[in-house]
Amino acid sequence: MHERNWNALLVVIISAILWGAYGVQFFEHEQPCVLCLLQRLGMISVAFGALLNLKFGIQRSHYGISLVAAIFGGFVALRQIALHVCPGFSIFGKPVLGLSLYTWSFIIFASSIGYISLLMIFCNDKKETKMEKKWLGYFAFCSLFLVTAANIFTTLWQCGLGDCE
Amino acid sequence: MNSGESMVAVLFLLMTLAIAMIYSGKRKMAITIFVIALACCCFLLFHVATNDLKINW
Repeated sequence: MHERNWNALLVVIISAILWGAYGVQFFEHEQPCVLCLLQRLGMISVAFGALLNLKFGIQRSHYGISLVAAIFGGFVALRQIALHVCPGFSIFGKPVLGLSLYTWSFIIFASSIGYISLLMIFCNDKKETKMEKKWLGYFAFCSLFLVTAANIFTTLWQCGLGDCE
Repeated sequence: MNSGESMVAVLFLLMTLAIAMIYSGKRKMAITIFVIALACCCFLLFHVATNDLKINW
């Protein structure tokens, strides 16, 4: 599989995680806090770098964008973990598969850094490669665009122009 | 705007715009919008981390 397809796969996986977060929000009735929304923004930013690779070809600067975003998101997740790590403090929200959502979020950001690093190590194609599976690229674009646009409305619905409740 | 939290919706809007710019082939514009959004994210994180959100700023 070409490097662009691996990038498309990263975007699809991140979109699926963000749609999953919507599932928890609406089916489990868990309203996201500001830090949770910042983590969503971090994930979108990681996918943004991969989208740049999809559209404009593989460049190190695009991977750099994704890595900076992953470090930012990981820092936000760590901050939220630190808020609830002391004994006697309950976790925020219902756990999913035994871990809180912000712990999963940290794992996702750490995995993204590992994934991008592996791509940079093993897939340094010098020649411009074409997308093998164009449908995967279109699907990645549409899915990420829709989930990001949906977040505008749900955040406005939840927070309005004031504090998030 | 009452507080920094209301900025989050604007940040999602900026990200959506940046993705749309990628699709339309405007790389520099997309990266510029993205950098502005990420800088705002860092600014908001700073305010959340310092528990400064209750102050109207």
